[in-house]
Amino acid sequence: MTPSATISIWQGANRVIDDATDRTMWQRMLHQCGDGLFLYARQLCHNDADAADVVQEAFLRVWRKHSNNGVTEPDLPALCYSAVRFTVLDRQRQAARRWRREVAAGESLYEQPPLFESSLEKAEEHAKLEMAVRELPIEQREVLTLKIWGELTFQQIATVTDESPNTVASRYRLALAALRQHLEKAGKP
Amino acid sequence: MSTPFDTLEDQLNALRPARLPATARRSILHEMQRPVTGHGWAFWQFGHRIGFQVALAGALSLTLLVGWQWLSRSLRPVSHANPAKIVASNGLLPSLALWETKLAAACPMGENTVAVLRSPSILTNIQIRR
Repeated sequence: MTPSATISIWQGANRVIDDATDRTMWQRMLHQCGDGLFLYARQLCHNDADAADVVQEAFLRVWRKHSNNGVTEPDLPALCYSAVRFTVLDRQRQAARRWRREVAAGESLYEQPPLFESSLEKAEEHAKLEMAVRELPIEQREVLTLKIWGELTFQQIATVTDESPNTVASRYRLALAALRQHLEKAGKP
Repeated sequence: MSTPFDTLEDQLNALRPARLPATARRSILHEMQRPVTGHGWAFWQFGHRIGFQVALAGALSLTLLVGWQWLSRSLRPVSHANPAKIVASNGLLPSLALWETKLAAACPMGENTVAVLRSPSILTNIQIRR
Protein backbone atom coordinates (compact mmCIF):
# COMPACT_ATOMS: atom_id res chain seq x y z
CA MET A 1 0.00 0.00 0.00
CA THR A 2 1.38 3.42 -0.96
CA PRO A 3 1.91 6.08 1.73
CA SER A 4 -0.65 8.40 0.08
CA ALA A 5 -3.28 5.64 0.15
CA THR A 6 -2.54 5.01 3.83
CA ILE A 7 -2.89 8.73 4.58
CA SER A 8 -6.19 8.99 2.72
CA ILE A 9 -7.60 5.95 4.54
CA TRP A 10 -6.46 7.42 7.86
CA GLN A 11 -8.02 10.78 7.00
CA GLY A 12 -11.25 9.06 5.96
CA ALA A 13 -11.43 7.12 9.22
CA ASN A 14 -10.73 10.28 11.17
CA ARG A 15 -13.51 12.10 9.38
CA VAL A 16 -15.94 9.27 10.21
CA ILE A 17 -14.95 9.50 13.90
CA ASP A 18 -15.31 13.31 13.85
CA ASP A 19 -18.73 13.05 12.22
CA ALA A 20 -19.84 10.49 14.78
CA THR A 21 -18.64 12.65 17.69
CA ASP A 22 -20.25 15.69 16.15
CA ARG A 23 -23.53 13.88 15.61
CA THR A 24 -23.51 12.58 19.17
CA MET A 25 -22.98 16.13 20.47
CA TRP A 26 -26.00 17.38 18.53
CA GLN A 27 -28.12 14.44 19.59
CA ARG A 28 -27.12 15.04 23.21
CA MET A 29 -28.03 18.69 22.80
CA LEU A 30 -31.45 17.79 21.43
CA HIS A 31 -31.98 15.40 24.32
CA GLN A 32 -30.94 18.00 26.94
CA CYS A 33 -32.49 21.14 25.48
CA GLY A 34 -35.39 19.82 23.38
CA ASP A 35 -37.98 20.15 26.13
CA GLY A 36 -36.70 23.56 27.24
CA LEU A 37 -36.73 24.83 23.65
CA PHE A 38 -40.28 23.55 23.25
CA LEU A 39 -41.35 25.31 26.46
CA TYR A 40 -39.74 28.55 25.26
CA ALA A 41 -41.38 28.25 21.84
CA ARG A 42 -44.74 27.64 23.50
CA GLN A 43 -44.37 30.87 25.47
CA LEU A 44 -43.89 32.79 22.25
CA CYS A 45 -46.27 30.91 19.93
CA HIS A 46 -49.44 30.24 21.97
CA ASN A 47 -49.90 27.12 19.88
CA ASP A 48 -48.27 23.75 20.47
CA ALA A 49 -48.22 22.58 16.87
CA ASP A 50 -46.53 25.79 15.74
CA ALA A 51 -44.13 25.59 18.69
CA ALA A 52 -43.01 22.07 17.71
CA ASP A 53 -42.48 23.24 14.12
CA VAL A 54 -40.51 26.23 15.36
CA VAL A 55 -38.22 24.05 17.50
CA GLN A 56 -37.61 21.72 14.58
CA GLU A 57 -36.85 24.56 12.18
CA ALA A 58 -34.67 26.44 14.66
CA PHE A 59 -32.65 23.42 15.77
CA LEU A 60 -31.95 22.34 12.20
CA ARG A 61 -31.06 25.91 11.28
CA VAL A 62 -28.43 25.99 14.04
CA TRP A 63 -27.20 22.54 13.11
CA ARG A 64 -26.80 23.44 9.43
CA LYS A 65 -25.05 26.68 10.23
CA HIS A 66 -22.70 25.44 12.93
CA SER A 67 -22.15 21.72 12.35
CA ASN A 68 -18.94 22.38 10.43
CA ASN A 69 -17.50 25.46 12.11
CA GLY A 70 -16.17 23.97 15.34
CA VAL A 71 -18.83 25.35 17.68
CA THR A 72 -18.42 24.08 21.24
CA GLU A 73 -21.11 22.36 23.27
CA PRO A 74 -21.45 25.09 25.97
CA ASP A 75 -22.33 27.65 23.28
CA LEU A 76 -25.07 25.56 21.73
CA PRO A 77 -28.00 26.14 24.14
CA ALA A 78 -27.84 29.93 23.75
CA LEU A 79 -27.61 29.56 19.97
CA CYS A 80 -30.62 27.24 19.93
CA TYR A 81 -32.77 29.50 22.14
CA SER A 82 -31.75 32.47 20.05
CA ALA A 83 -32.73 30.58 16.88
CA VAL A 84 -36.14 29.72 18.37
CA ARG A 85 -36.77 33.39 19.11
CA PHE A 86 -35.61 34.44 15.66
CA THR A 87 -37.75 31.78 13.97
CA VAL A 88 -40.85 32.83 15.89
CA LEU A 89 -40.30 36.50 15.06
CA ASP A 90 -39.62 35.61 11.44
CA ARG A 91 -42.85 33.63 11.19
CA GLN A 92 -44.82 36.37 12.90
CA ARG A 93 -43.48 38.94 10.48
CA GLN A 94 -44.34 36.73 7.52
CA ALA A 95 -47.91 36.15 8.59
CA ALA A 96 -48.59 38.98 11.02
CA ARG A 97 -52.17 39.50 10.04
CA ARG A 98 -53.06 35.80 9.93
CA TRP A 99 -51.29 35.22 13.24
CA ARG A 100 -53.11 38.05 14.99
CA ARG A 101 -56.47 36.79 13.70
CA GLU A 102 -55.72 33.20 14.81
CA VAL A 103 -54.59 34.29 18.25
CA ALA A 104 -57.64 36.50 18.70
CA ALA A 105 -59.99 33.71 17.64
CA GLY A 106 -58.07 30.89 19.30
CA GLU A 107 -57.39 32.30 22.71
CA SER A 108 -60.94 31.82 23.84
CA LEU A 109 -61.40 28.39 22.23
CA TYR A 110 -58.00 26.76 22.62
CA GLU A 111 -57.57 24.96 25.89
CA GLN A 112 -53.87 25.19 26.58
CA PRO A 113 -52.24 21.91 27.57
CA PRO A 114 -50.05 22.02 30.70
CA LEU A 115 -46.62 23.59 30.27
CA PHE A 116 -45.01 21.18 32.73
CA GLU A 117 -45.07 17.50 33.58
CA SER A 118 -46.56 16.79 36.96
CA SER A 119 -46.57 13.95 39.42
CA LEU A 120 -49.76 13.06 41.31
CA GLU A 121 -48.46 13.95 44.78
CA LYS A 122 -47.36 17.43 43.71
CA ALA A 123 -50.08 18.08 41.16
CA GLU A 124 -51.76 20.83 43.18
CA GLU A 125 -48.56 22.69 43.95
CA HIS A 126 -47.40 22.43 40.33
CA ALA A 127 -50.76 23.63 39.04
CA LYS A 128 -50.56 26.74 41.26
CA LEU A 129 -47.04 27.47 40.12
CA GLU A 130 -47.95 27.01 36.48
CA MET A 131 -50.94 29.30 36.84
CA ALA A 132 -48.68 31.92 38.42
CA VAL A 133 -46.13 31.56 35.62
CA ARG A 134 -48.82 31.91 32.96
CA GLU A 135 -49.98 35.17 34.49
CA LEU A 136 -46.58 36.83 34.22
CA PRO A 137 -46.05 39.41 31.46
CA ILE A 138 -44.41 37.82 28.43
CA GLU A 139 -41.08 39.67 28.93
CA GLN A 140 -40.74 38.35 32.47
CA ARG A 141 -41.94 34.87 31.53
CA GLU A 142 -39.39 34.76 28.72
CA VAL A 143 -36.51 35.61 31.05
CA LEU A 144 -37.74 33.19 33.70
CA THR A 145 -38.00 30.36 31.16
CA LEU A 146 -34.52 30.97 29.79
CA LYS A 147 -33.00 31.24 33.26
CA ILE A 148 -34.71 28.37 35.07
CA TRP A 149 -35.42 25.79 32.35
CA GLY A 150 -32.94 26.95 29.72
CA GLU A 151 -30.19 27.26 32.34
CA LEU A 152 -28.69 30.26 30.56
CA THR A 153 -26.68 33.00 32.28
CA PHE A 154 -27.98 36.58 32.39
CA GLN A 155 -25.36 37.50 29.81
CA GLN A 156 -26.58 34.75 27.45
CA ILE A 157 -30.22 35.72 28.03
CA ALA A 158 -29.34 39.31 27.23
CA THR A 159 -27.84 38.17 23.93
CA VAL A 160 -30.86 36.01 23.10
CA THR A 161 -33.44 38.68 23.93
CA ASP A 162 -31.37 41.60 22.63
CA GLU A 163 -31.59 43.45 25.96
CA SER A 164 -28.98 44.59 28.45
CA PRO A 165 -27.94 42.13 31.21
CA ASN A 166 -29.20 44.60 33.84
CA THR A 167 -32.66 44.72 32.26
CA VAL A 168 -32.74 40.95 32.08
CA ALA A 169 -31.69 40.52 35.72
CA SER A 170 -34.24 43.12 36.79
CA ARG A 171 -37.01 41.31 34.86
CA TYR A 172 -36.02 38.05 36.53
CA ARG A 173 -36.26 39.57 40.01
CA LEU A 174 -39.63 41.15 39.14
CA ALA A 175 -40.86 37.79 37.85
CA LEU A 176 -39.86 36.03 41.08
CA ALA A 177 -41.48 38.77 43.17
CA ALA A 178 -44.69 38.54 41.14
CA LEU A 179 -44.73 34.77 41.42
CA ARG A 180 -44.25 34.93 45.16
CA GLN A 181 -47.03 37.48 45.51
CA HIS A 182 -49.33 35.35 43.38
CA LEU A 183 -48.60 32.23 45.43
CA GLU A 184 -49.19 34.09 48.69
CA LYS A 185 -52.52 35.29 47.37
CA ALA A 186 -53.37 31.75 46.39
CA GLY A 187 -52.79 30.74 50.02
CA LYS A 188 -49.36 29.15 49.89
CA PRO A 189 -46.27 31.03 51.07
CA MET B 1 -28.44 31.81 53.93
CA SER B 2 -31.55 30.75 52.07
CA THR B 3 -33.86 33.54 50.90
CA PRO B 4 -37.55 33.18 49.99
CA PHE B 5 -36.51 33.59 46.37
CA ASP B 6 -34.17 30.59 46.67
CA THR B 7 -37.07 28.44 47.85
CA LEU B 8 -39.17 29.67 44.97
CA GLU B 9 -36.33 28.97 42.52
CA ASP B 10 -36.05 25.44 43.91
CA GLN B 11 -39.78 24.94 43.43
CA LEU B 12 -39.56 26.19 39.86
CA ASN B 13 -36.52 24.01 39.17
CA ALA B 14 -38.54 21.01 40.29
CA LEU B 15 -41.00 21.62 37.46
CA ARG B 16 -40.10 19.64 34.36
CA PRO B 17 -41.16 21.15 31.03
CA ALA B 18 -43.59 19.06 28.96
CA ARG B 19 -41.77 16.94 26.43
CA LEU B 20 -41.10 17.99 22.88
CA PRO B 21 -43.47 15.88 20.71
CA ALA B 22 -41.85 12.67 19.52
CA THR B 23 -42.68 13.45 15.89
CA ALA B 24 -40.68 16.68 16.01
CA ARG B 25 -37.80 14.93 17.77
CA ARG B 26 -37.78 12.12 15.21
CA SER B 27 -37.90 14.59 12.32
CA ILE B 28 -34.88 16.46 13.65
CA LEU B 29 -32.88 13.26 14.17
CA HIS B 30 -33.91 11.97 10.76
CA GLU B 31 -32.80 15.21 9.11
CA MET B 32 -29.46 15.13 10.91
CA GLN B 33 -28.80 11.51 9.93
CA ARG B 34 -29.59 12.02 6.27
CA PRO B 35 -26.43 11.58 4.17
CA VAL B 36 -25.02 14.87 3.03
CA THR B 37 -24.01 14.69 -0.63
CA GLY B 38 -24.21 16.65 -3.84
CA HIS B 39 -23.29 20.09 -5.05
CA GLY B 40 -26.47 21.62 -3.70
CA TRP B 41 -25.25 20.95 -0.16
CA ALA B 42 -21.86 22.58 -0.83
CA PHE B 43 -23.54 25.69 -2.16
CA TRP B 44 -25.98 25.73 0.76
CA GLN B 45 -23.03 25.56 3.14
CA PHE B 46 -21.30 28.56 1.63
CA GLY B 47 -24.24 30.33 0.05
CA HIS B 48 -25.49 31.96 3.23
CA ARG B 49 -22.13 33.51 4.06
CA ILE B 50 -22.01 37.13 3.09
CA GLY B 51 -18.31 36.99 2.20
CA PHE B 52 -18.96 34.24 -0.29
CA GLN B 53 -21.83 36.15 -1.85
CA VAL B 54 -19.79 39.32 -2.14
CA ALA B 55 -16.85 37.42 -3.67
CA LEU B 56 -19.13 35.70 -6.15
CA ALA B 57 -20.89 38.94 -7.07
CA GLY B 58 -17.47 40.62 -7.49
CA ALA B 59 -16.19 37.84 -9.72
CA LEU B 60 -19.36 37.97 -11.78
CA SER B 61 -19.20 41.75 -12.21
CA LEU B 62 -15.51 41.65 -13.09
CA THR B 63 -16.06 38.95 -15.69
CA LEU B 64 -18.90 40.89 -17.26
CA LEU B 65 -16.97 44.17 -17.17
CA VAL B 66 -13.86 42.69 -18.75
CA GLY B 67 -15.95 40.88 -21.32
CA TRP B 68 -17.89 44.00 -22.16
CA GLN B 69 -14.75 46.14 -22.53
CA TRP B 70 -13.08 43.53 -24.64
CA LEU B 71 -16.13 43.26 -26.86
CA SER B 72 -16.55 47.02 -27.28
CA ARG B 73 -12.84 47.44 -28.05
CA SER B 74 -12.86 44.64 -30.60
CA LEU B 75 -16.05 45.85 -32.28
CA ARG B 76 -15.29 49.63 -32.48
CA PRO B 77 -12.87 49.81 -35.46
CA VAL B 78 -15.12 48.05 -37.92
CA SER B 79 -12.94 48.76 -40.96
CA HIS B 80 -9.79 47.30 -39.36
CA ALA B 81 -11.60 44.52 -37.60
CA ASN B 82 -9.86 41.23 -37.47
CA PRO B 83 -12.32 38.55 -38.63
CA ALA B 84 -10.92 36.15 -36.03
CA LYS B 85 -11.70 38.65 -33.26
CA ILE B 86 -15.27 39.10 -34.44
CA VAL B 87 -15.77 35.37 -34.55
CA ALA B 88 -14.29 35.06 -31.05
CA SER B 89 -16.45 37.87 -29.68
CA ASN B 90 -19.56 36.30 -31.20
CA GLY B 91 -18.57 33.08 -29.52
CA LEU B 92 -17.87 34.77 -26.17
CA LEU B 93 -21.29 36.31 -25.82
CA PRO B 94 -23.28 33.08 -25.36
CA SER B 95 -20.62 31.74 -23.00
CA LEU B 96 -20.84 34.94 -20.90
CA ALA B 97 -24.60 34.57 -20.74
CA LEU B 98 -24.19 30.92 -19.79
CA TRP B 99 -21.78 31.76 -16.96
CA GLU B 100 -24.02 34.51 -15.74
CA THR B 101 -26.97 32.15 -15.60
CA LYS B 102 -24.93 29.44 -13.86
CA LEU B 103 -23.50 31.77 -11.24
CA ALA B 104 -26.84 33.42 -10.59
CA ALA B 105 -28.43 30.00 -10.09
CA ALA B 106 -25.63 28.85 -7.79
CA CYS B 107 -25.56 31.95 -5.62
CA PRO B 108 -28.67 32.57 -3.45
CA MET B 109 -28.83 36.30 -4.16
CA GLY B 110 -31.89 38.49 -4.40
CA GLU B 111 -33.51 39.16 -7.75
CA ASN B 112 -32.43 42.80 -7.62
CA THR B 113 -28.77 41.88 -7.28
CA VAL B 114 -29.01 39.55 -10.24
CA ALA B 115 -30.78 42.26 -12.25
CA VAL B 116 -28.05 44.77 -11.44
CA LEU B 117 -25.32 42.32 -12.34
CA ARG B 118 -27.06 41.52 -15.59
CA SER B 119 -27.22 45.13 -16.70
CA PRO B 120 -23.74 45.31 -18.36
CA SER B 121 -24.54 42.34 -20.54
CA ILE B 122 -27.89 43.87 -21.45
CA LEU B 123 -26.07 47.04 -22.49
CA THR B 124 -23.63 44.95 -24.49
CA ASN B 125 -26.48 43.23 -26.31
CA ILE B 126 -28.09 46.58 -27.13
CA GLN B 127 -24.79 48.02 -28.35
CA ILE B 128 -24.10 45.03 -30.50
CA ARG B 129 -27.53 45.22 -32.08
CA ARG B 130 -26.90 48.88 -32.93
